[in-house]
Amino acid sequence: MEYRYHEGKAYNLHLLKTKKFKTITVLITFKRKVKKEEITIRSFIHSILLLSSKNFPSSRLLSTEAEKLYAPSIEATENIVGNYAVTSFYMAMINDKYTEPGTNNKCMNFFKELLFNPNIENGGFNKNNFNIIKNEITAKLKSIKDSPRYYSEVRMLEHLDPTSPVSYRRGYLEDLDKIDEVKAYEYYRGMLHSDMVDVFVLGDIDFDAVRKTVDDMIPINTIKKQKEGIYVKHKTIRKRAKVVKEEENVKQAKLVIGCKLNNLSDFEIKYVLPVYNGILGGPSYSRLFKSVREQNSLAYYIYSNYRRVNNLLTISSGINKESFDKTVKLIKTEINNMAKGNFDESDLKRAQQDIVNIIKNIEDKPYRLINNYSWQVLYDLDDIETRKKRVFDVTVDDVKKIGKKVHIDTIYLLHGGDDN
Amino acid sequence: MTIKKVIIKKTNDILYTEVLDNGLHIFMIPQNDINTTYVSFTTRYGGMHNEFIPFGEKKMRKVPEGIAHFLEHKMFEQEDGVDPMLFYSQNGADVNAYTSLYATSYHFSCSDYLKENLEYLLNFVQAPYFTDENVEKEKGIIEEEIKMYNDNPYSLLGEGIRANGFKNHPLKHPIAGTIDDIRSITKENLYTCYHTFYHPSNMFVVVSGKFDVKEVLNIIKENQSSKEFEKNNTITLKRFKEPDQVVNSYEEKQMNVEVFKISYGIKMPIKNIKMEPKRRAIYLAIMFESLFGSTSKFKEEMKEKGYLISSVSLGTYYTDDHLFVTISADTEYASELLAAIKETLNNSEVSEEEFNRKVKVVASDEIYTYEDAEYVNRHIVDNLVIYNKYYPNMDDILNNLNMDEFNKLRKQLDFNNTTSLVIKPFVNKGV
Repeated sequence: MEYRYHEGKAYNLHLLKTKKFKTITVLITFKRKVKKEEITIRSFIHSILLLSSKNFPSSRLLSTEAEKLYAPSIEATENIVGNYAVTSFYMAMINDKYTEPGTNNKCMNFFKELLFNPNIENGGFNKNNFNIIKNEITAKLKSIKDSPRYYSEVRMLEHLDPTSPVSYRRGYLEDLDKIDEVKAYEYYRGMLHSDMVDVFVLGDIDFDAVRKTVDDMIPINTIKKQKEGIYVKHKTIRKRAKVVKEEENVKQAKLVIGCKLNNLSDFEIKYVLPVYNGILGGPSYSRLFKSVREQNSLAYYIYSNYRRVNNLLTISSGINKESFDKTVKLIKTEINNMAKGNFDESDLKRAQQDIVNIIKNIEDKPYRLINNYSWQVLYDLDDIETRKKRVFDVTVDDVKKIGKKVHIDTIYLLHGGDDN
Repeated sequence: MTIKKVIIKKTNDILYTEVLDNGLHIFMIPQNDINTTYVSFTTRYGGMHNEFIPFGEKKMRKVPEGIAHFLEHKMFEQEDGVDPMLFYSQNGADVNAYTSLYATSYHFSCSDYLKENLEYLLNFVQAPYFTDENVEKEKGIIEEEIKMYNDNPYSLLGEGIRANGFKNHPLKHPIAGTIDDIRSITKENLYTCYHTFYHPSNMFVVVSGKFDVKEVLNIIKENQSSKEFEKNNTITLKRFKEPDQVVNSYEEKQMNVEVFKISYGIKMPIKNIKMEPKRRAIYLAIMFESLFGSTSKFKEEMKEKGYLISSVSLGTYYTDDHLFVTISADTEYASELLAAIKETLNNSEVSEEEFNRKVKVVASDEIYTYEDAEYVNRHIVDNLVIYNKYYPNMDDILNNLNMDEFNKLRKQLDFNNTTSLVIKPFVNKGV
């Protein structure tokens, strides 16, 4: 794959040329420092832009137009990544050598129309469309408890540190009434003006032609610079873990443990942490899986997860409420074993191989590959080839060392009370 | 026993197929510009196959619900004590399995050690090892899995609407069974199911992604010829007499949710419809997408009125005699939304322009499918399970679809036999 990077004042352009795919994928990201009071209004923008536009003023007309263009898949996401709020717009389209020449340019124009020619009336987004999105967001925020697993993770983080961006929700019901179609439009204009923008295009592309197309597409000409780092640092580290139990109407209790990571070096954040996580509770046959599920039949699922930019490691499991003490004890034992180096060389090799496989798998799929490049930029990661090699530099001692920097902070249980 | 080769005209990929002497079908579609190989090994045995004549017996027998899924869990127990999960993770591969109503599939992906990993897949799935002790141990794990589903409103919605639709057919049961069902499972009935349904002639292997066709074929052939199997045995499943009527036309359930969830199920007899099932499925997909999908009047109106606060998800289930289509969504206005679905079905016409556009979308989806070797694998498995056949060149069907046939089919279908399920919050808000 050939990679070209053009640093611009208004946006940076990343071009990735490969003959491997039948599609061309475009990703445009907008980011700025996250502010709790902006999260809810920001969450409107990506949805409302994909709902309609000036020339296609209803979602029905817009979807119909997309189908005429051989159904490019267009999606948008809003995420909080460390200290930043990141809005991403994706379009995947079939390379028009498989369909009808000229379709790719039409798709690019269509994407431009969606992002930069919104359906505006009286200085705000079209009221009807605004209300549709407001209804959807209201329902989403209200129904956070519909997924007990997700809800328990959210609650754990709120107990871990309610003031840190790591605990911010995807929006707040109490902010909704302060937002209207005019304020949302103003926020959107502010994004165009001040957010940092990156554009990625992946596929069998012509560098110069795509560069020109993108240049015509993006009507942004403000200059901005990233000031603050994306990585979150914890203000305090608890000496003794906080234990919280909350009651909801659930059949299966959800256990979530949050561990703060302190003073990790660059190498540890990029390479040792994923390996540590892989051994402890990663995707395949981990220490936690073996102990909690296979040897003690306490759970169907148990895994650990790391959030690099948040300096956090979390462990999640669905258990019987009565097994709380036993499960926590087993998990603590495994965490202690990691710090003592009580694991096998084969665990290390397995975790390293898993990571390489995940990277190789990323390379096989356009959506993952383009995301990978955006993460490289966001997290300041090494490129794929370097990552595949350097993961094998991680030693048992490195894992032991990082094990001492993992501090259990919050142990959270969501359970169904005594009747269940 | 010769290898068959079909060129996929649209993308120039090639599908190779072969049937071994023991009856095992092999499907291979190499895409060598990627890093990963995807392999699946599937038996046409799923959550709904609970009454059958066991291998070597003469009488129809009923086994506990949830046993296919239980069996899937237990295949990961080997006599040498090595967990296949551990084997795969040490060989740079990711292994998993799933049980649907219709099939059980074991699959792995890897970028190295294909030979070892492939042989291991064939070996662990073909070497059951059940003991009283290991069966008991698994019950704790599966109980937690079932409880997890029971906390998920969407999984209850899917199970509930099927239970309201079917009186006798086992589609009415949850795939994993209930906690009581799985408590009654023994190693004996696991072996009974295994020997009946895991014969190579009831199974198939699909390989996609990076690999050499000859090499893979040789690995499979050598592995299979080194094992002994019973003679091919025709499987006799119980045929259920299922009334055309649904069981329940309306039901409400309370759950720990904040927003109502609805599902509308339409049970349609298909005995009299003479059309290739795949063709029928495409027509139906076009119809339901047109009526309820992103370009539909329904969706636009419901969103504007605020009745619809999610997208609409469509599900299709089939038996020999019936087709059961479900339409599900989140809403704050359950009764209004259900009424609107009913009304939309009363006038199910689709314009010619829309029809042609949807055909084009189906054709485009085909290209997106071949973009992803993992998805291709699943796509082939699903087609083999549902249609007993794979369609490498969908254009052959798509190019001769037509409005007249579509309209004829539409008129043959009866949309009046329906059931609704509403999941509502505990706090009574009134529907």
